[in-house]
This record gives sequence, C-alpha cells and structure tokens, in this order.
Amino acid sequence: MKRYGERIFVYLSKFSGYFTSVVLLLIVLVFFKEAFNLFRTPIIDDTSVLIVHSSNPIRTLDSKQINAIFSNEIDSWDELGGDELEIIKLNYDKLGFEDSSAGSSVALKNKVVDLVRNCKGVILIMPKALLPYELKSNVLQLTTYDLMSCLSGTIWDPTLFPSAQYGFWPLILGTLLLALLSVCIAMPLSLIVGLYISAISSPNQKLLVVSFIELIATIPSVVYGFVGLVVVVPFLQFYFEPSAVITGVTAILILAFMILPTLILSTYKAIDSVSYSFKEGAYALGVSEWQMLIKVILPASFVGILSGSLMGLVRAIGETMIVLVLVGNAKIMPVKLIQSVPNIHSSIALELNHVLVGSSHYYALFALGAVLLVLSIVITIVVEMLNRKSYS
Amino acid sequence: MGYSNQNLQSIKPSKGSYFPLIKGVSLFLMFVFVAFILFVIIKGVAAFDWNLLLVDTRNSDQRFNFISALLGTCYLLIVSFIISVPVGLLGGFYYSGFFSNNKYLSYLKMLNRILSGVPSIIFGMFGMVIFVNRLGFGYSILAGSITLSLIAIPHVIKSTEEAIRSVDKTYIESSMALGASKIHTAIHVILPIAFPKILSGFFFTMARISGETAPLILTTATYMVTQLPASVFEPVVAIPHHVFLLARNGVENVQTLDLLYALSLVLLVIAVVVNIIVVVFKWRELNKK
Repeated sequence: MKRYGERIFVYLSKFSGYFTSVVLLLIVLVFFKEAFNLFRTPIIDDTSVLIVHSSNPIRTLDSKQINAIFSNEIDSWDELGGDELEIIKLNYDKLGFEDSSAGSSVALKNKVVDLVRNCKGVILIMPKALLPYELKSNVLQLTTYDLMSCLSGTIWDPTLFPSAQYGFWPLILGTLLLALLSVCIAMPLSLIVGLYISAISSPNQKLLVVSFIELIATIPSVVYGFVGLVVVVPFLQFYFEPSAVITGVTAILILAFMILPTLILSTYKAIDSVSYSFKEGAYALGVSEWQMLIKVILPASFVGILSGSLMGLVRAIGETMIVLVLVGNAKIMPVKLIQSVPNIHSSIALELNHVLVGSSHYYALFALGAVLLVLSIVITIVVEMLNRKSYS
Repeated sequence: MGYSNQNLQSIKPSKGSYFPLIKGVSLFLMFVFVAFILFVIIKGVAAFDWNLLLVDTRNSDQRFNFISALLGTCYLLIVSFIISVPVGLLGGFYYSGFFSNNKYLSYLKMLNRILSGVPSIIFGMFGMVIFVNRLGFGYSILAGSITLSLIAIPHVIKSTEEAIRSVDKTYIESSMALGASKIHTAIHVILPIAFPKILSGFFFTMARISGETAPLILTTATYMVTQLPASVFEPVVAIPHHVFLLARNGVENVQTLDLLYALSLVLLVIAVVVNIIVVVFKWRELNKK
C-alpha cells in the first residue's frame, strides 16, 4: 500500500514538473495556429466578393490596390494595367436595393446582373450570399495577407474599408523603442545602486536595503502607471508641452522606474558574486578604487550585469499596463516621443475584446502576440546562454 | 574563511574613491522610491474612507465599486492559490531531483524559466482562447484564476525548488538511513525545514499575481461589472483591473481619483504585508546562525 502511495506521489510530481513545459508548448502552438490563420484569410472580409465587368482584363488585385480604388486614389483602370476606363465604384449595401419595393429576389438579382453587364468600368462589392449565378465568372480572385507585407507594412488600420491593413512594423518598432530606451535609462542607475549595496558591510543593513528594493519590485505596475498619470504627466504638461497627455516620454520614464528595482537586484547579485580573491589580488597590487572598479569588478561581473539587463528588457517588453495607461493606441509610425507611440500591448489589450473571433483582425492580433512571444523567448534564451557561460 | 569587507576597507587607498558619488546617487534614488511609496500611502489614507468597507443601507457607487473589486481580487487569489499550490509543490520536488534524477531536467528548468519570462498579456490571450472560448467558461473568475495560476506556477516551482535544495543534505541522508521512505522524508523532514522559504515563495508569487492586470482584461470581464459574483463562473473586476478601467477614463473627477487612490493603497498594502512576512522569515534565518 505504502509503495503505491509513493509511486503515485512520484508520478504526480513528474506530471507537475512537466506541466510548465507543456503549457509553454501549448501557448506557442495556439499562437502560431491563430497567427497563421491570418495568412489564409482573404484580404477583404470573407463574406463579401468583388465583381468586375467580364471584359475587364484584370482578374486579381492586392490589398493596397483595392484600398486605393475605394479611397479615390486611383480612378482609371489603366493605372492598374487594364483598359483606359474610368473606375466606377459601387457598394451593394449603398445601392438602395433594400429600400426599393421592386419585389422578388429574382428581380433584384436581375438588376445587379444588368448593372454589371452594362457598365464596363464597374467594380462592385457585394455579399457573397447574394451573388447571382450569372456573375460567378466575374468575381475577382483575391490574394491572402502575406507575412512579409504584414511585417514590413507601416499602416495598422483594421477599420479600413474594404481591405483592412495590418502593418506590424510601427507597433513592433514602438514596443522595442519604449523598452530599449527605458533599459538605457535604468541600466547605469542600477549599476550605481548595485555597487552601493554590495559595499554595505553590515548584513542586517544589507538585508534591509535589499528587502526594501524587493518591496518596490513587487508593487503592481498598474500602480506605477497610475502614479505616472497623476504625477509625471502634469509635470510634463507644466514644464514642456501643455497639450501632452499620453506621451512616450512618460511611459519611458515610468517603465525605467519600474524595472529599476529588478535591475538593481540582478546587478547587485552579479557584483556581489565577484570572487574575493580577485579583489584581494588587485588590492595587493596597489590599485586605486577607480582602477578596481573599471579593471576588476566590472569585467568580472560583466556577463551577470548583461544578463540582468536583458531580463530587465524582457520585463519592459512584456509590460502592458504602463504603456496602456500612459501611451495610448496610436496608429502612425513613431516619430516624436512627446506624443502617443504605437505599440503591441495597447493594440492587443484595447482591440481584442471587441473583435469577432475568426475575423482577420482577430488573427492579426494573435500574429502580433506571436511576435511578442518570439521576442521574449529569444531574449530569455540568450540570457540562459549567458548565464551558462558565466557559471561554467 | 575569515575575510570580511572591513579587512579590505582598512587597506583601501583613500584617494580617488568613487564611494561618495555612488552613495549620493543611491541615496537619492532611495529617496525617490520612498517618496513614491509615501505618496501612495498618504494620498490613499487621505482618500480612504471606512464607510467604503461598512455595509450601509445607502447604495453608494463608490462603496459598491470598492467592495466588489476587493472581493474580486480575493476570489481570484484564492482559486489560483488552490490551483498553484499542489502543482508548484510537487513540481518543485521534481525539479530538486529528490525523487528521480532525470537527464532532461536541465531542459525542463530552462523551459520553466522561459515560461516565467513570457509577457502576461500572452497568458491573457491564451486564457481567452482556451478557457473563455474553447472550454466555454466565459469571462469569469474561473478563467481568470486559471490564467493567473499559469503565470504563478513557474515562479512557485522555482522558489520551491530553491527552498528544497537549501535543506541540509545530512538531514535527508540520515532520514533515509533510518529506513524512512522517500515520501515520509519529503513530508516529515524536508517540508518542515524548507517551509518558511516555500511559504515566502508562495506569498511573493501571490503578491505578484494580485497586481497582474493584462490577463484579467482578457479573461475576467470586458466591462465594468455591476454585480457581486455569486459563483466562479461569473465575471468580476479585480482591483488592478478596476484601477485600469477608471484611470483610462481620466482622472479629472475627484471622486474617481479618491477611489483610485484607495484602490492603489490596497494594492500597495498587499505588497508591503507580503514583503514584511518574507523579511521576518529571512531575518530570523540570518540571525539564527
């Protein structure tokens, strides 16, 4: 009986040990499955079709061309390589067929068929379900979203009609910009405080300071975001730009402030783990304090400090609430830090609750999430390799 | 080895020390940190009203919001605690190599650390796909707390493993030599010794997930819920989620601002209490030797 108990215990612990790995795999699987669905979704809403005249040589259009046509940027077919004909854009919903009491669905269909046959430059967007049989051959073949154009696209606009644009580049750039700049601010400060803590000699004092910094590190980020909103934003408004409410600068400052405790702890551990024999040897050779710092302590703890700051970068990249509260959800390329900066977190958190499951927008948000996931996994693996190097 | 910092400080050259510089900068930063905490405490205490907690007949929105947020956080923490304790404990035992020495253990640990670095909003999206939609829990306490416990488990496993590893090997070996089974050793020898450390690891993680907001936005509720939850299948707006929803709508309104300060104070108090418990454990450990 006892042996069985032990066996069950061992199996349960094995299961728990594998649990996190299984969860990680599941997360990666779910994200990539949903993200790759984006590249199987047609570029316009898949309940609609685009119809052209049967004599029109153009049989396929991409997302940018469709939007250019419907936003009046292109008004002649020859700009797309077709005949010299004016483009006549029609939207089924706005034709007024629904209002007319003209009667049966057969009559309605005939009206659409007549319209398309009589008008050479027509392009008509209509629901797939109402498509008349006679016009099946007139339907435009549409491409799907493709990975490269999504990654390099500079416009993120899910509401664009008729083809929503999902350009990831500004969002990725904004997220990286915020995270990198905040780490650049927090890094030197954490080095200084780490040096200071490792120089404290009394163990009780050291415990006090380290615990205080651990306390700061456990304060939820939404509190940081809120305090940033009520303290830093009015400050910036008063001294720099009165119209600034949601700015990249505030977010970078608060992000730096938030990751500072984590960075201090890791820097302190790296500096503290430098062997005493190094320092003693250096002192015996008569080095000054500065030489000690630059030639002994920093080189010896360099890998530890680097991996610590990369962990800080992971934390800054993964931080949602501060950017959500302080940066907002801009759609343009990040040009000025004094205004709203586009970023992955705001897009996901503000848009995901309102999209239809299975729409291209939904898949695009998961593709963004997959980018974030890959970024964090890659940086964590680099940190792992650095740690392994420093221990061996 | 009897070397300590004092031995070295007596021989260090007095010229060109950078110590005053780093001391100045560090003390300034500490001052900023203290100011940050004091700001939240002072504003929070000023805004905090005991009437928020007392049940009175007037149905004021403020009090209702406060109570529902507080209860929401409690429910979420309790359910995720129940889920993450067994998995975290057993996983920690497995990772410490006490039961079996697996050659894949280092890879498992690496995957564990990778999972603990995954952004919390990713967990939120995962929870939304799996628990809210696929398993049909809907936006609910259950979906939110399972998602939160997924965030907690890697941290809990890691701290439990460290706690178990810190137990002196001789205790374990003597227990085994006396003929105790592994499970007996685990429960009666390792657990009591490692208990303070395991517990502080759990507390730390719970404090951490009590402030997680991004997963809650996607799993517990999509709007300001105006009902106290009756079961785990109902939506709830926890404290950090509440702070976010209010802060997003602007902080011009004085009443909203007061509620925000009070809620932030609660979040800060959770963090402070947990840290004090952990420090007491550590301090006893330090001064025992």
